[in-house]
Amino acid sequence: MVKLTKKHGASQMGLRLISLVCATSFGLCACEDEQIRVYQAPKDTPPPAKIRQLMNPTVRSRHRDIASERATPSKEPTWSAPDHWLEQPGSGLRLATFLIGPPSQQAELKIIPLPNTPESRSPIANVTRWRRLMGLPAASNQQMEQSVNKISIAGHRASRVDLLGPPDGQQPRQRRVVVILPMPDRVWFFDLIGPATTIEAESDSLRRFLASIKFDAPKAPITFNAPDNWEIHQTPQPPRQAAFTVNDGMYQGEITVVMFTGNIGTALDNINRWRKQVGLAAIDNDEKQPIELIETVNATGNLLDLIGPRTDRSHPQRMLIAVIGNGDNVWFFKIMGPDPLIQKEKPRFVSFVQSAHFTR
Amino acid sequence: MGNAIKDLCQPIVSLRLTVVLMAMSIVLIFSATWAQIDNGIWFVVEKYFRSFVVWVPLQIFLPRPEIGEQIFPGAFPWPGGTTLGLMLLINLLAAHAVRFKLTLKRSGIILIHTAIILLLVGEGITGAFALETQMPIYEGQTTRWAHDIREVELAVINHASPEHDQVLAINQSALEQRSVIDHVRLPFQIRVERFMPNAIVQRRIPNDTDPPQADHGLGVTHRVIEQSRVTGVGAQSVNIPAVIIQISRGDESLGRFVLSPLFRQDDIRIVGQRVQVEDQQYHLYLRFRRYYKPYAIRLNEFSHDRYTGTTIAKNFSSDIHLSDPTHHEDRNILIYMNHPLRYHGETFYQANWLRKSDDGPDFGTVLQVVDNPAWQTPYIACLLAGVGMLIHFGMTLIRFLRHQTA
Repeated sequence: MVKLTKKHGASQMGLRLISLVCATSFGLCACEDEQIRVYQAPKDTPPPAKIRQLMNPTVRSRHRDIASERATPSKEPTWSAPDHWLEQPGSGLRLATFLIGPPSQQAELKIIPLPNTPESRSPIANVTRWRRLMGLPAASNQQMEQSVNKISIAGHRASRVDLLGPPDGQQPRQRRVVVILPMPDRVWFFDLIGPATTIEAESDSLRRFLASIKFDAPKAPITFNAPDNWEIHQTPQPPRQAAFTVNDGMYQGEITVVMFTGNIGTALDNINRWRKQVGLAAIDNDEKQPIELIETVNATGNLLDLIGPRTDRSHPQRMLIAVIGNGDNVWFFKIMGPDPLIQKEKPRFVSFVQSAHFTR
Repeated sequence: MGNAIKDLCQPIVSLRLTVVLMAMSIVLIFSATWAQIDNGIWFVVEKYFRSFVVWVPLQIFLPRPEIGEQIFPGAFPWPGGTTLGLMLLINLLAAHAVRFKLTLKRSGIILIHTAIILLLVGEGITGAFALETQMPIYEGQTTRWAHDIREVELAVINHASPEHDQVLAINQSALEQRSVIDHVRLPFQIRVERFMPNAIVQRRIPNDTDPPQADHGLGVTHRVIEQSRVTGVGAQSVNIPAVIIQISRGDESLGRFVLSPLFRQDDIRIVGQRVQVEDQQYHLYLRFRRYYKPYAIRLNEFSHDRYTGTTIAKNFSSDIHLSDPTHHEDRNILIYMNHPLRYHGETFYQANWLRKSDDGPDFGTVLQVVDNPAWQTPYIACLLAGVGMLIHFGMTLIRFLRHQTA
């Protein structure tokens, strides 16, 4: 057994002890995950139907009419104004303007949509600005909140602001009543400003006017019935009006509904482009491509069935495409995927196209 | 023997060493605080505190350069938090072995030191083993996973089976470090052409003269643009990486793809990009790294009360159903502010919610899932330290009063 000298040997042992502790700690702490992991995972569940509808309110039901939000303009309000309010045409940002009361005591009601931003929909931010414009002193947030009331317009939450301006010598005292109505894409301002006496006299008319405001859903350009086994994409990218995927457990296919306006190229160009997508050679005459007629609810078009070549490694790609003209618009209904899947889905695709109803 | 142990510990018992280590820790914390101006907190925690050595750039102590100006060069090495923590722990343990006697008079100090040891050890365990993830769930939906928003994975998934998905997940570290990824279970080879730690997605304009970044999938119609990593002071709090990859099988190219977690169907689901290999279809996803659970959680209802006239949250809660057949769990639970669920070694906190806009309806909840085996150590350490200080200062007070009366 080796005898350690007190000083020198003990220090060496101490250093070795420290090294051992550090190395062990390093080893414990330095363990890394594997960089590639292979495992089986449970299937992801899609959001429930009611959540999908909340996320995309214009998609009412896949079993009934499906309207594409991208094909429709943003909703605009309609109203019923009193006969004695003089409506002026909209200009610039304003959707409409009403002149109310006698010329010497006239108030003005403006209807203005602004982009939906935190600043535009914040009552406090707006009240701060209006108070300054009316010459009112700055107020605390609590005081400003007291001038804001929560009301309901067309079933939506809105804020009503009522501000009375300071006395201004011989001039009539000004009053401002504004209703701020945030909608998904815009914030609507119904902004009434004018002499306080006029606005007081018109309070009943204003109340009836606000109660008459509606946001009717504009007509979608197309409705159709989609099969239950097709999963809808919530946010199809333009020019797609709708998009779905279908999966039978072995293969996946995609269905798209696309609308173009204006020049869409010649029939031969389009046919060759589709042929190329499934791996077929181009043709020099569009009459060489077999075409069937297909009818929708209120239009007629052509249906093409393109099957690509089979390879040693995979099933051929197949595409069914229906081309339907409606006025200035041309609609393309397309399904594409491996041949076994498309063969199975063909009857459903044809029914889907036949259910299309063009509303404008 | 006792003297031999004391001699062994002499170099590391010194109080001077304690002071030096504390001073070095102050410098480390000071440097990390400056570093947070340019980097997110998790990046700084990993680099400065959960490392053995850190290279501290000199630039972080200087005003940030304007666009076009040079960054101040140079960096100095410094012991990282792991090194300093370990050395402080060894210093304290050695001091107790050599200097401190277990007496009633020293009991307060011993308890306080035990609390410090517990904090150091607890932080070491937390750093090594803790995992924080998020679990987003729509109302009415059932989920079995949570994801780590600080890290992404490239998931190659075969959805063919109706009962489960076959997943091959490639960690972010592999995407960052390796240019070619091969695996016996991977049906093709992946060449990582470019990994962007943080990127945005933009739709390509119709007459875009720049060529597309991909020839398959969403990269044909979209472009990813690299951004700076999130900082400690910016609006964005999470890095969202993107990657451009080339896939091949032997000599056959299967396409170039652009992947990003921003290619989404909704708040939770990412759009998979398809790759056909013989008669099998695979889908590619770049998503936050997932951790699957042996139990399922269903969100029955999410409630969000606001203070009247504002969008400020007054209360939000998640009514969930927990289902774990292995442990015979099948019950409803309410998770709300300051009332987390503790289950299976994890703690579920009400963290956030899913919605379209501030005024719009709420679609679901986001639970923060914390797995920290050392979660109790700070509480125990605080208790011990509190009792220790009571004892120590109490004894000092009594001694003083006795001295006064004597």
